[in-house]
Amino acid sequence: MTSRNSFFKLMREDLRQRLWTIVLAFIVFVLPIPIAIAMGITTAFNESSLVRYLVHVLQANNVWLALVTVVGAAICAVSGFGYLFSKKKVDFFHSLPVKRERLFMIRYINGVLVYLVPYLTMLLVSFLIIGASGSFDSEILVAAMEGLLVHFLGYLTMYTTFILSVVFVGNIVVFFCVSGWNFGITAVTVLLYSLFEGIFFNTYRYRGDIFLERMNSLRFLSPGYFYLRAVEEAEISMLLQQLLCTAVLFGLALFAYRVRSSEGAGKAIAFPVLKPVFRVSIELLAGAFGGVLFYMATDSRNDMPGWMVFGAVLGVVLSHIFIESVYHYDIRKCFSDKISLAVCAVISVAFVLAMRYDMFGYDTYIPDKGKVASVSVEVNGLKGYSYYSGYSTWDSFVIYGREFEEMTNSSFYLNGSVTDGRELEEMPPTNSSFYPLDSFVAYDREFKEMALTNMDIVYPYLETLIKDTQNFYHGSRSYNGPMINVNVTYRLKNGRTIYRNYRSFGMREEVFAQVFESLEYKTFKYFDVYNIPAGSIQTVQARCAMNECTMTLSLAENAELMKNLQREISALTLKERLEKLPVALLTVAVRETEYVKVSGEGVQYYSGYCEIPLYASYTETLRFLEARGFSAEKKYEWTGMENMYMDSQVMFFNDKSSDGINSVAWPADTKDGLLEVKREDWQALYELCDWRELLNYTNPTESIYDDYWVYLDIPAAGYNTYDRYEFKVDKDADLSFLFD
Amino acid sequence: MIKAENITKRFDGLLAVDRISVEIKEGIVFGMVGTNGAGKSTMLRIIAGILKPDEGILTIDGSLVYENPEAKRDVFYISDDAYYLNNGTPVDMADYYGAVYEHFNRKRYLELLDQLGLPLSRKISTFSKGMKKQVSILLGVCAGTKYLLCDETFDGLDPVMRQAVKSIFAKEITDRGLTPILASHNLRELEDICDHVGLLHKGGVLLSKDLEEMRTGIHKLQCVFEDEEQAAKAMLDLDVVGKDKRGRLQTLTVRGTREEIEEKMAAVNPIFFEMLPLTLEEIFISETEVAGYDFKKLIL
Repeated sequence: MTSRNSFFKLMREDLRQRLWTIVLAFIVFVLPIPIAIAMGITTAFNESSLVRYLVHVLQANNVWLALVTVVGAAICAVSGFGYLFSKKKVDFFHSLPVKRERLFMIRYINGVLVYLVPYLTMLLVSFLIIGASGSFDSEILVAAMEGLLVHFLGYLTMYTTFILSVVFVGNIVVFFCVSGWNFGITAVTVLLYSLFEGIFFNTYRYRGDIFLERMNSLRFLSPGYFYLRAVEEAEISMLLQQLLCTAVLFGLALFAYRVRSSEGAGKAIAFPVLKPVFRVSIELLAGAFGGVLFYMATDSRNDMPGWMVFGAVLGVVLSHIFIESVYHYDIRKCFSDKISLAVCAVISVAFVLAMRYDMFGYDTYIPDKGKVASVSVEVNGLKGYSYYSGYSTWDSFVIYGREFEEMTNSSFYLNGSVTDGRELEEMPPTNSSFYPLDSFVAYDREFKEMALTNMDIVYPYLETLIKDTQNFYHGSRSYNGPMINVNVTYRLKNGRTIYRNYRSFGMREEVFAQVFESLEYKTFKYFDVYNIPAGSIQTVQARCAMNECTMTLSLAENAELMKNLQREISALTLKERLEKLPVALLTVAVRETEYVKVSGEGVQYYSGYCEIPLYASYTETLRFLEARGFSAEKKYEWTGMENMYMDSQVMFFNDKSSDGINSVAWPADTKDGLLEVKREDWQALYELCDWRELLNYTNPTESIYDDYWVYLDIPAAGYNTYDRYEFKVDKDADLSFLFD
Repeated sequence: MIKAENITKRFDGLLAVDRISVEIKEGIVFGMVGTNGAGKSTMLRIIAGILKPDEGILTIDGSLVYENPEAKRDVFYISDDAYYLNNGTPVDMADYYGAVYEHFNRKRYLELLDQLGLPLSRKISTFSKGMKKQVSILLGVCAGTKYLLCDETFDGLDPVMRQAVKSIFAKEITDRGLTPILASHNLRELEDICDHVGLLHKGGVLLSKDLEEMRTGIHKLQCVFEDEEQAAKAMLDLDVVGKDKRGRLQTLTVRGTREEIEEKMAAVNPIFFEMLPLTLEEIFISETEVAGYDFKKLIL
């Protein structure tokens, strides 16, 4: 039995053999980071920014540390186990009276020490520098320890995976190929499948996070994903799963090392049984990619599956030639195993054709009712009703007056576009106004939280959507009306989630009405109305064009208002929603510190305000507001009006009697491309106008963009400028009086 | 004792060792000869525990050798193309083996290095082929193992160094009963050192015999008979395995002890007869011809 003493002696001897890796590790760890820290200390503007900088340098998402970790893992794996590539080295080491397990452990532990010791030394030197400068802060220590945990665990994962690659193969070139396979096969498969979905399936619903979501669900097949995710955001549960994954990889690597025959040295693949695994998987992917590549390269409207088949076969053949040449180190053997080549080609062709013609029924698939836990439905254009000024999915992501500096490097949605923290920092302080992150948050909530469970109500609508989508793409197109996009999420009882995008011929009121008018749908769609506690309401503002009334109500009044709204929204019919414009808008502002809801997934919505459209049928609510000084009637005192303008499009389309489009002359002045409306026409035109704010709540099937726009400029009180209000006039309205 | 029973090993379907059964007793020098590709190196690597046989059992002193450090502790393998640690010196190699073989005799190693004039602290990568071989042999000798497996070890050594190595082997055999197992494609290299030789051909053992036994059991006889009748009578009495006739002078390769042959020849009473010693090569030629092979095509 090799004594414990000899174990450490062999460790020492092995380390002597890889002295270069130790020196390299010290250079990449101990030089750059402490130097960066020292430079940061000497150039920092103030204490706060210095701490932020030091945290940034030592924390998990330091790109340099991640790079060193990945490259270091590959280098240490090869330096420790690369002897397996050489017959004479294998003969040397495997003739020694040392058990393979022990040999493995010696080399494995040394590879870990080569990384860990320089890392710890780097931390020690960094802390000494930081301490000497008097900038030490517990925040830095926490960030550094988190960084150490993430990178060290990441190193173990990557290192073990690279070792597995080394053990699998017999030379360095194939090592890189197999490492690519080990780390990338899942990602490539997911990307390719998503590409197929996007190209061939009409009901495919693109989501920005679909790749990460799928990778997350397949994370145990992709060791690198764990590390990438931990670098981005370290979560204890994920780190534990990563540890488990690494332990499994370790066991696999040790087992493979033990059973690896010495004659594997110098061969492409040391385990003959793995050869078909690598080859077939790559050939199938290459075939699928070749097929879709040629499909995209040819005009898809002409639908030439021949080229797709050709691409699939070409992909399989080329990859087969490459792999077999590598396996045999001989290009003349490139067509070895012709049966496998033929089978892969057939499978690839069958796959691309099956995807092209949706033979798996992706587009027509609807889960069995009994297997569905809930469904969310978003009808495109049936606008949401809530606006949020704060949104927090991350602990440090708190806006309006709190922890802004935390977000300096973050990106997020603001008013529908991606921005960064600087823009937020320039925002007014907490209580001044509302800055909606509306479209993002409302969309997000609708899908994450809407959970319709009454399938008897929802399924007729969904089945209609599927039929319409099929008819739209494959049937006769006798329908000329607008198509409506509907996004649907099926959440199955087994935890699986299915996303689809359907197209319907119009709103399909006959089946959608029962969904819309169900209380379940309303409670999600009008989430705030049903969930804001009366005690959280700060102010209420009712608006109708230029009529505005802001009121601070008592707790009892708030409760009464919300109760009325709930009752009347519950009774709102789809018919009214689609055919009538709201008569006013109600904005309910919530107290700064109130959370509307904390979901089970840890997602918190901080609601700044919500906007609720009021329909004519909301008689109790309107009466309530009227009693407090707000009238939903559209009226205006024209004294003080600056000007009224009309969209110049009216010149081209209004004159029904004219043969030509340029025959109408505008009787008044123009300004900045807009037509000034004569003062005597103001009232008549105003009567025909709809306030643009209300148009958010029109029927999605009706286009409002062919209509004419009217602008009213009203001097802003106390300023030498004016506020502009926008209105819409129906293009079919009689506007002849404007041309008199 | 090393005992191989029906050892078979294939590489990618190619039969490298075909049902070899052989016993190597302690305290002898075992020679393993055969052409390139005969399976000598493979067999040595199997004995060293580097390769796992596909079939058959290989034991060292009763213990299976593959993945068995206990058994491997008694074996040192000197490869034909030995590996030396990166930038390693002879001393580095001693350090490494010293960590593995608990009976590694560092003192003797350093003495032998000195005797052979090998520098202690020069990188082995700068050594000549022969010097590297010497280092390997010294490491093997000093590892303190019972069995020393040498694959073409004498190839590349000059005659003086070969003799020096042989004398080192002889001393180890005498002092502690070392059992060297020498694989070579050159029979002449082994002739004056081996006690027992196994001939490998196409992965199998053609013959495995004790050299002394072979030497005493077969002889070369030069003789001149009075006539054909006398010659025929002699042939009947003797166990002739080969003959060559030039004029009236006949050269016979005959099985049997010297005394038996002399007695039979005396009975026939030819005009002239003389017993000549056989070289190992001649013995093998005779033995393999008996087995139905043309030895000259097998080796040399």
